[in-house]
Amino acid sequence: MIFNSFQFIIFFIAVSLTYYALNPRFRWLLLLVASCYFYMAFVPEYILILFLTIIIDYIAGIFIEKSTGSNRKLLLIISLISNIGILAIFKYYNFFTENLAAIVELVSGKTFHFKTLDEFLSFLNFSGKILLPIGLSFHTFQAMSYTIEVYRGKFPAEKHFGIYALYVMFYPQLVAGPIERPQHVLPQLKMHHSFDFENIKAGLMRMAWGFFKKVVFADRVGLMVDAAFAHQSLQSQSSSTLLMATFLYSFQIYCDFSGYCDIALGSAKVLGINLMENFQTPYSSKSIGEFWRRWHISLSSWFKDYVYFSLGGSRVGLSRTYINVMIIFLLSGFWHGNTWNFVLWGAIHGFYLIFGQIRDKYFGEIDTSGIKKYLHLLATFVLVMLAWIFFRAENLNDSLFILKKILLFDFSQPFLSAINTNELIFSFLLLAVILWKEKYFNRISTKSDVKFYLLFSCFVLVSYLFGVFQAKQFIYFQF
Amino acid sequence: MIKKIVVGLVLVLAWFALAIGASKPLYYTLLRQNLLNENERYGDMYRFSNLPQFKQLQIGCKRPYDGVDSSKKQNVALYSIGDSFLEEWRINSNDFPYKFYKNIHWHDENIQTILDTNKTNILLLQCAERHARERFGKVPLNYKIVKSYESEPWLPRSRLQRLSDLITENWKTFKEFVFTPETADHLEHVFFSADWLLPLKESKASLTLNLFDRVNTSASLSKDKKHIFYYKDTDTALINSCYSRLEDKELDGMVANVDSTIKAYKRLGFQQVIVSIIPSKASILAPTDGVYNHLIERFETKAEGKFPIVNVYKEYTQNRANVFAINDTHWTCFGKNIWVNNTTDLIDLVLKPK
Repeated sequence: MIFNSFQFIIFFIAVSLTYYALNPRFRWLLLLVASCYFYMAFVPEYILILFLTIIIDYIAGIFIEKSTGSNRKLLLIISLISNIGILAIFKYYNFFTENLAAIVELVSGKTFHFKTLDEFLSFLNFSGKILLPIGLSFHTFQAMSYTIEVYRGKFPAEKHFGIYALYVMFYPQLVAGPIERPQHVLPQLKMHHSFDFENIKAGLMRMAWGFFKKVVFADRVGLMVDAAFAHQSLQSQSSSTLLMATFLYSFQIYCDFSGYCDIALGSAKVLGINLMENFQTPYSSKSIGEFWRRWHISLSSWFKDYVYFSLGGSRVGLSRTYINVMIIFLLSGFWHGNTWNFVLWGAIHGFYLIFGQIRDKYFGEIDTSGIKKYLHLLATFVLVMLAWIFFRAENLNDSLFILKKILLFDFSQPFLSAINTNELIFSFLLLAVILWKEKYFNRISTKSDVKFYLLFSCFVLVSYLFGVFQAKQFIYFQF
Repeated sequence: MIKKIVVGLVLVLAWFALAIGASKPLYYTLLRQNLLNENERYGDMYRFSNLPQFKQLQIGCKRPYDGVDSSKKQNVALYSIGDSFLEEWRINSNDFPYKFYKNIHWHDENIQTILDTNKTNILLLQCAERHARERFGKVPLNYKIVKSYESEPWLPRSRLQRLSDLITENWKTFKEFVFTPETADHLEHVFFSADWLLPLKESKASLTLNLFDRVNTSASLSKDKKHIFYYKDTDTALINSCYSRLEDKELDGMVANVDSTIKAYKRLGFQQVIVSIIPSKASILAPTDGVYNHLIERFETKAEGKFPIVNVYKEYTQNRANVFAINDTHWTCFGKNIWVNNTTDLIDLVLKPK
């Protein structure tokens, strides 16, 4: 079930009202069943995979807590391998076999073909196309953070299977995060949240803001971006079209993902549960390092806490620190998708960050006073925007073609847009409003009832009248 | 107290709505009981576009053989394989002077049929122009002609296989009850198809068209904005469009496939097989909005002398303004009558002793 669907709105109303009507002792059960239904609305069968990881991690958590020394470590490794194994099979199997086949072909000079996951499973009498279970990377990472925290002794193992399952499956953040930590969410899932109209208002307002960003802005500019980046028509696109599409994509992905997070945070807030913030106005960053402290915070902090620090972080030598940074960004790229495009996207950001650290080391921290602040802001945005090309393009060749075309500034071909000039101007006006008042909209005060009803109705009406409704999934759902 | 009652009511309504949306059987039960509005009562293109200029109440056409005693009809059994033009509420046995009429969709496969040898059995292969390249790109056999209806052959199966089949079957039923993929469409129908809500949808559609020159992705407008088409008719990225390039080689293949299909059905017992391609609305009303590929005319030229074809293209182009409904991808009663008359005329012709 996608957030920007009427089905979700009805589902949300039904679940939220039942939640408060129910005896608090049974609320976890309602949320668990609702989360199962929410997930199964995509591909019902994949709930089995999700439950498999839940069972493994639930048992692992209990045994890790009970054991000590090498046994404790062994149990953690088994749990991590199970989680990563499932992720590897569904997300990376085809990537590895394709690349292995290419290497074998290169070495032996003979064509080589490994079975794809579909072919492999059809060989075992399984029919049907294998799709990547939605949100697999998200809930796998959330599940792993639980076992790691239990292993580190920072959080006790959860004994209640239902509550643990709900921690992994809680529907607002099940398919695209934020990737939560057990110490933040699990205690909240056990608490009795009494009906608080202030929470409801704040949650609904956050949801309305998220819907607005998604359906009015992101999906609107998506019409232009999709047409410009389409592989079939790429050769006929001009520098100006591709530049405009890349510029708009930078904001499309932001409004799409942060819009999703707003809806996730808002719908959890209505239930009395606070999820972690995933964005903090990232395009107001003055350096790449700052950008990563403001963009997809839950993933960045996951990699920092569980991988970067485990590798020694910055306490090791300088070159090792740079290697660690690059490892993190390569992993982050690979986490996003199973193509070289994503790996390269991660590598570009890793390079940006290392370059920034070297610059800081030899030339001192950047001066962000006066006009320089805006220059750094612009430079950071341009670097991030150019890297998005690799994230959005359909393959590596397309990415390089787009990058080359943009950098050549070849304006001989006409500017083509799938949306008309009025809509383009409207999109820019929307963008200006979103960026200008972003901090305000993220935290609209709902203390005044009049202000709430007025603004909320306004968001709903504008989203309906100007929203682009094509049941378009959120970009991050594919991960 | 009132607050509690209202909340309770909303709660019950929300769950009930969710159940209707998610459950295919429940949704269709309500439709059959007329508890839900007919979704396409103002035409399929109005349903997609919500543009008020294309809103018109759909009316049924008079059927020439309505109430005519079947004994007074010709001793012909007409079977057809068709698409949406031949859906039962558009075409049924009361449109033909034949004792028996049966239609199946191109998606139906291996439909067991016993031919009545006391009747002249005719098969009609009908498809809309937009689907011609898909349908005639292969040799399909949708009817399975049998002497008597056969049940599934009994095969020895292990206990495990039986259990697996049972689980698969029940899981499928369960999914239909709880996770139908059309949930969003069903809910949209339940909540937003009432007449009093249509002005709201129309305002949005008009605003989008006037301000941004866009319509719903399932629809497209002619250049003069006077006609509305199904997007497949005009999207040149698809083979369904009448503006998509069509090579002679592909046409030759289509004719050869139809010829093979006809021969196969004749071997199965049909005395005659006729073919009909109903033009796309865009081919008739906006042939100059793109480079029209003239599929029908070219197909008919290539098939000349090989198999009989119901020709409506010429008459449709002569009566452009009256053959297609303003609010729909399908024909008007006038357009339908042309097709029915031409079909029966062709059947009369092929049944005439040479």
